[in-house]
Amino acid sequence: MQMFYHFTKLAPIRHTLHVQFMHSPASRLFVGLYVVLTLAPLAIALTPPLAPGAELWLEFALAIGFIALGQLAAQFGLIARFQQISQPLGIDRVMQWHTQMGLVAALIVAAHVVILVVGQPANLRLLVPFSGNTGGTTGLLALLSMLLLIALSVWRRQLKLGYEQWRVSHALLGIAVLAFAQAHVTTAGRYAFAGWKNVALWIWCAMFVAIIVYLRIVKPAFMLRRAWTVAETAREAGDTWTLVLRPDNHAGMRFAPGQFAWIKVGTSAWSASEHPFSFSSSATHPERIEFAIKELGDFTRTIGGVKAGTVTYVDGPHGSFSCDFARADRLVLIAGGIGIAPMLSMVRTRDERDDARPITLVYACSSIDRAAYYRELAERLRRPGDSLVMVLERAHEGWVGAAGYISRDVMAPIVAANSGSTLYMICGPDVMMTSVERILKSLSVPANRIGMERFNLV
Amino acid sequence: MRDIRVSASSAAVVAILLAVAAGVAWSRSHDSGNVITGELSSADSISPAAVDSTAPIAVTHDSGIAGNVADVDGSAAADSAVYNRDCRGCHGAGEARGRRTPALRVLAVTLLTTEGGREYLVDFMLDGRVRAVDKGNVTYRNTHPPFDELTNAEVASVLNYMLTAWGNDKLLPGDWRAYTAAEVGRRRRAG
Repeated sequence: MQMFYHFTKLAPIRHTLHVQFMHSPASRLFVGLYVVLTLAPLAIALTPPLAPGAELWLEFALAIGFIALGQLAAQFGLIARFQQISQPLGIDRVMQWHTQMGLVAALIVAAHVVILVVGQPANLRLLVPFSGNTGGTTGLLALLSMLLLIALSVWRRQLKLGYEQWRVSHALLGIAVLAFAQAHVTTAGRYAFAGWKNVALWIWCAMFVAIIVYLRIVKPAFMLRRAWTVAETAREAGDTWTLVLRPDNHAGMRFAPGQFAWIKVGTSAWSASEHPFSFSSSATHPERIEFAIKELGDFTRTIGGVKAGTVTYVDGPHGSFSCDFARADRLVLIAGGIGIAPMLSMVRTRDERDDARPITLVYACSSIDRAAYYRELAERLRRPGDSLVMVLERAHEGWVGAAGYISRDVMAPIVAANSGSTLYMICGPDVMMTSVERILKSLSVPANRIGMERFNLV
Repeated sequence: MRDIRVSASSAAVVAILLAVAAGVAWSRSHDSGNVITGELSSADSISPAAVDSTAPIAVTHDSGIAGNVADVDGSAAADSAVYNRDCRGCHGAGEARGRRTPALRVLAVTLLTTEGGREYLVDFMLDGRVRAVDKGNVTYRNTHPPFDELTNAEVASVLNYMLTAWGNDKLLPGDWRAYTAAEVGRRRRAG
């Protein structure tokens, strides 16, 4: 999986066959935990001693202010890559949740300010910078930091901000927002004038900031002992490269076919230059891992020049987009472009494991000569029951196969031939995945038999 | 395209959070807090008659210019606007509110005229107070929130209003000086 593509997740087999968000125990637990964490600062604030209550509008503004504080802290937990959370839910959904809740928190902060000003227009002066009112100043700084963080995320490309630069600024601004917000609570004082409450709230915020410190500083230190080196980079069709890595003095990395990892190639373990790619090698060889990488952006265009022996760090495995995580007697893999990477891993793993399940692979690409790994896949998918269906956007003369995009005409006979316990897994451009999902559902394929991972980083 | 299921879930969570906020706000707006005035009740027993109410009130600025209360510079002799906005909700018109708040009528002047009382009142406004009051087996927390977000002029205005309203002006000592913004500012910086 490359960062530019979109996927939707399956749940691991130990949970449910398919995660329908809010329909599975894991997702309900996640949402419940999120609500509890978000309300924790409010609960601390409401613990006695308490001053007499004020008017309803003011108390509501303060309550939602504390809720926003809880959300801002929880944002750090959502990007922590805790496998206990991301595995059953899908890391893409956790990331989407992070994005959406960030926007919600911003709206709640805005509502907090608006209500305070509308309820008492004199409060407008609190927004005057450096007015001598520390409560107002810290609140203003929190608000401005948050607006800047959101603007850099939404308009990163228009601002020509590099991905690595965005990551660093996002982390620093996130810390600034939380610190200023907590300072605002302390200096405004209406609910935090008891010393122990201030301490408790600061500790609460520090715990979440510690997560990012762990991710960016502590975890890379551990990765130093599990480094990898580039064994080779091989050119494939369609501007695609295979990056082969070997472990440096360790046993390698176990993963499930279809999962992905964040890799840092030729940089420090602490570098912000980190990119997610799907494993394309067989999961039966943890001592040799491969990634299929297409030249699409600043980093991927440099892959061809990476020399053998280059030190690389691998953070993984992540994701639950894998045929290992659901029971099925047959697999239908539907790939578009570089979405072939996780499918390649699944096909290779099946062969290495002597897994008897037949695989139908629908592979959409621009043309046959740009179809990476076509020959290998054609060789492998010759078992009884296997099938390779190429869909060419630009069909060459004499081509008798499917042309254009993956359509209902392409999928209908495949679905008809694969009745029973069949798993459909889709990986490719977002538009393609949406279209194919719709087609499958129109062909009466149950939603819990369709695996996807929608993942759109900034 | 975003996962619609995630969006629906986040909308549900937002609704839950806002509902909790609304419930908390409603409850708090009807809450008298846990302020107990046991120790302050003795101050209410001071009779206004103990103070010479016939002496004229001499009011001076820091600059030494004498004047009536009405002549004090505008920032310090503001009307009841700040008091009405920030204090009346609990303190009403200077009367005691059950066990929640003490009567500022008389008490304010009493506190002013105790040793260190002038500075104490400014500090009280800026820093608030948290203090435990033991009553038998129960400890009550006597609390007053800080109001350091008020400007120096507003703090002076509130203090001057409390000290001159509800008949308190007749209890003030003859050499009483109205608070000024500058005085509050000096105390804030010293604190």
